[in-house]
Amino acid sequence: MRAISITVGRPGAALRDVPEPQRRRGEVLLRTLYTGICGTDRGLVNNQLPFARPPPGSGDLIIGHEALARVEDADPGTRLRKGSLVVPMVRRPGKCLNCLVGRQDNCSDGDFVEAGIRGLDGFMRDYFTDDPTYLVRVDDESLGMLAVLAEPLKNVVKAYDVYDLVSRRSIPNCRDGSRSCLTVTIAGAGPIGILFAMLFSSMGMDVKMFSRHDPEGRLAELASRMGAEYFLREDRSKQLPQSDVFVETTGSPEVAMDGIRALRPNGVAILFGTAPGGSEPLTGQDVIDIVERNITIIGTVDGAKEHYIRALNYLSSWKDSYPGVLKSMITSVVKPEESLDVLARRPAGEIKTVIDWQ
Amino acid sequence: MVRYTPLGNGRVLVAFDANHWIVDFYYSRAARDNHAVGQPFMFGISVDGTFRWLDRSALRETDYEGDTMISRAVYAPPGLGVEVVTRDFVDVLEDVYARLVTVRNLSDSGRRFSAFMHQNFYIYGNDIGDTGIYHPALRGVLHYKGARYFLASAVGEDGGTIDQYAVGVKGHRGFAGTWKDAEDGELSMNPVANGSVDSVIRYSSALAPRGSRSFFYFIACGQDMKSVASLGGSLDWGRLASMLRRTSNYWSYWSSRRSLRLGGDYPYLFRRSLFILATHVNSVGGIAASLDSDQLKVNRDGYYYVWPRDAAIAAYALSMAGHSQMAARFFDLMASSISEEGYFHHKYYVDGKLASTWLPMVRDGRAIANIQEDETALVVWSLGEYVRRRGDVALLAPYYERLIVRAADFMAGFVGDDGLPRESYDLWEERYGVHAFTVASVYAALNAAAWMAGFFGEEDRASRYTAAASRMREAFLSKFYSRELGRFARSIIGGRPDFTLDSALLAVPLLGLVEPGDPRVESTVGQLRSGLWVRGVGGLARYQGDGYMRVRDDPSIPGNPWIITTLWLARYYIRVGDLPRAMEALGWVASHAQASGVLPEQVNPYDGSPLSASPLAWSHAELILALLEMDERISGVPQGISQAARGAGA
Repeated sequence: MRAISITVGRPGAALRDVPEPQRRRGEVLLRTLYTGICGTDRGLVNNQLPFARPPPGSGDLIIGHEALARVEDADPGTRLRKGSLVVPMVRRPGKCLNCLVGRQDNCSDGDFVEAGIRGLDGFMRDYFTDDPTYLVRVDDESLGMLAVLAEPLKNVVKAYDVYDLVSRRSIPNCRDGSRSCLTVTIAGAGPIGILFAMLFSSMGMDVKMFSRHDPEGRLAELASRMGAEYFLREDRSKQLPQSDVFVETTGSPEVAMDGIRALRPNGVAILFGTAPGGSEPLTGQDVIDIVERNITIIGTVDGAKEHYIRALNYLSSWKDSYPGVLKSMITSVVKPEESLDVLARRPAGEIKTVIDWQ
Repeated sequence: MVRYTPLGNGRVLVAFDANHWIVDFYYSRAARDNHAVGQPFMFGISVDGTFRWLDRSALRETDYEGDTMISRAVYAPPGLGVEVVTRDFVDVLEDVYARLVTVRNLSDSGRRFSAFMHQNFYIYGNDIGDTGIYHPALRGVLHYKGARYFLASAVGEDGGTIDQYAVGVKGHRGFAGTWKDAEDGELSMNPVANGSVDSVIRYSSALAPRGSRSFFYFIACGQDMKSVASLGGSLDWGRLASMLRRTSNYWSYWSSRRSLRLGGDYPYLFRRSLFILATHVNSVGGIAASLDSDQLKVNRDGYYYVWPRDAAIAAYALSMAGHSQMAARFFDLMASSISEEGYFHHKYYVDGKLASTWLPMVRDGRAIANIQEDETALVVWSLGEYVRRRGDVALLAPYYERLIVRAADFMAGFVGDDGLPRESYDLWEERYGVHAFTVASVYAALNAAAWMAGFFGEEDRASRYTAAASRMREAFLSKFYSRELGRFARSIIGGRPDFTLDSALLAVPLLGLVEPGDPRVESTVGQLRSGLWVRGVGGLARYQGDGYMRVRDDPSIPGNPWIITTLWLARYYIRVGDLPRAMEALGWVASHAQASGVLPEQVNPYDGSPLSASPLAWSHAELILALLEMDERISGVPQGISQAARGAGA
């Protein structure tokens, strides 16, 4: 069967022929239908991620962590039946207390593995087997390939939960009890930035999203279809608007500090994007402002099974409430044989590329 | 056999078999009478003249829909080129069961389908003297007997209704049943039958290429013709859609009252357990042990009764999860059911009337109390412990004198010369003697009652209860523990201790009779774990040599693993802070839940399949308690039982 893998420590990816997996008792055999490509996949292919590692005993790693799969075979009495559609979870637990209770997204000692990223083969292959504990059933089969967005969206759903938790240290609501008077600024208009925009927008908040390029005005149009506003910010000379929530998805420390400096009192900064480059000094005035204005800065990664389930519910609801928006996020669909170039370099104008394995 | 995705509103309660066919249909003011008693209400479809029953071979998915008490099933009947999605519910306010059926055409050509809904009532649990009759004004088939009326009909999104019907005799005079009439795709239009009766109704519509069509099938319930006609006659598409929406909203909010910090499948199992438990609570406070009527086939008696023990644990779990209003109804029922002497009988119907028993009133020629005293104790303990832990004193006031004082006075007096409880039957309903589980529960109940008495300023009464509890504990430590064996006896029967390994000994630490960290408890639990953990399939057996529903005579198997016993072990490990072992036990339970979250009483020790009643309310209650305790443990909330149960004053 086909699989896309990398040799950890070397740039490049290859489409290889590998043996089909044998299902063991208690496992589920799955047929991969679609996999999404994200920045992490490109980081792996270009050998830019120091935390990448193959499964024990192997030098190669099958990549891919955003997937939709169909159950081909399972033990009788298992919760999943042949034909069920599922989204597999990425992170698998280690031994710390958070991992022990199923919250490996909050792993406290780093002793976890991630499918297609570190220590465990991923889903860019025709078939794989998995423990049903880490499979999330897709009830709304009409989602089709949009279900691959559940994996990135689960990060956003968890981030919102963390924001909601910390925002309650003061009164976060408006006089009418809603959050409609709160402004959210989102840095970055990739898939994660757009999904953040959709979630905050669906909560009734005033969302502004920016990036450095929007050559054909597609992002501005997309933002307006979800009730948000898009603006270009080509360099730092453009002041960011004041906001109550700032979401950073680009990984730039300069952008992060710009956003934090533009927060209103009791504001919350959500740092999600990561990138190795860049630097920005934290000044004494910054510290004074963060303290005096009760600013909260949160870092958040991954999500629990609960967040995958809610992500699928959101996708199901958004496909009706934001007609066409999710579909327009899938900017191209390629076959595995056509995917190696796309995995190495992001095509111009891409929001999300999906590999069709059927 | 497992009952999947039960649905109920306290008066109407339905449950499905593996085909997703209704097999239990309870209806009365207290949902007491089962009008299906395990017999299937079949469901079939004909597409362009090809008919088939929609059974498990075509069933792809069945589960609750999200966090709501809506049951969703997906059928993919081979060869018909359609997909059928059903969403069943029992309206949260009115006595209506309904199913929204959506038929999707998977082909590029237009199709015509007919859906066949079979009504297989055994009104009041028998098939004698039923009537089935087509009612032209109500455009449906009415089944009735005595004070139970059921109107079955259908309505489409275009306002269309049933186009054919057939009513006939079943299982009698050589008639298989009216369901046979559906298999040629046409119904006889026979309008009436009496005696042993079933019926089939048909709804038909056209399907555009790749299009879909929806209709509601419903059964309206009433106590007389007027009420069922009024309710059934008012059900159009808009009203049923509104009922579906409100039922979905209600349960979605209801289940989200308490969230957990645990990940994996635990939050969903927690919410499902709450739903499933809620279906077992009726409008007058009866909490049935199980709605699964399958046991009737084996014993001619079942689990659809209120055992005060099971129900008290369920009421405690619901209260601790934030649903004390349901528990309040249970304590109302218990306050009106308690005996003159101050104890509870073996079991009750769900409306509070005394139910069947196998406990004799005479033994060896001597009159005895045919009770299991732990049942009385756990009712008192569950109320006191909840109030103490959550500070909800409003729940306590109505029951203090009517229930607590009467039961506690009985327990304080029902003791032998040595201070231990007098003999009664054990929680497994098998042995007569003095049992560790009973001692632990009575001890906890007397301390809880002492706290409640102190709260109401009755210091003398509080002291009396505390003194009885203290004396009981001393006697237990001196008579039940063997230094030689390093464990507690499970019972003293005829004056002799019985040291059989029994999971019920876990009540000793869990109910606060002896601290979980006490070396005697640690040694006992260590022996329980090594002796009762079932090799291969896992889970904790009830006790060594348990013969109840034993699959085969096999000395390597101590007994079938039970859900509640494994959860007791989990709760013990939570108390002592051994979270890996607690999660191992919790994980075992989670892996033996059905897709819908349904948990059985027992598990087959060879293949892990569910055994005995399923769902079992007590299993779900214990899971809720274990998950809450784990959540509190990882959140830093103090663990263990309250000071009240340890004998501290108010």
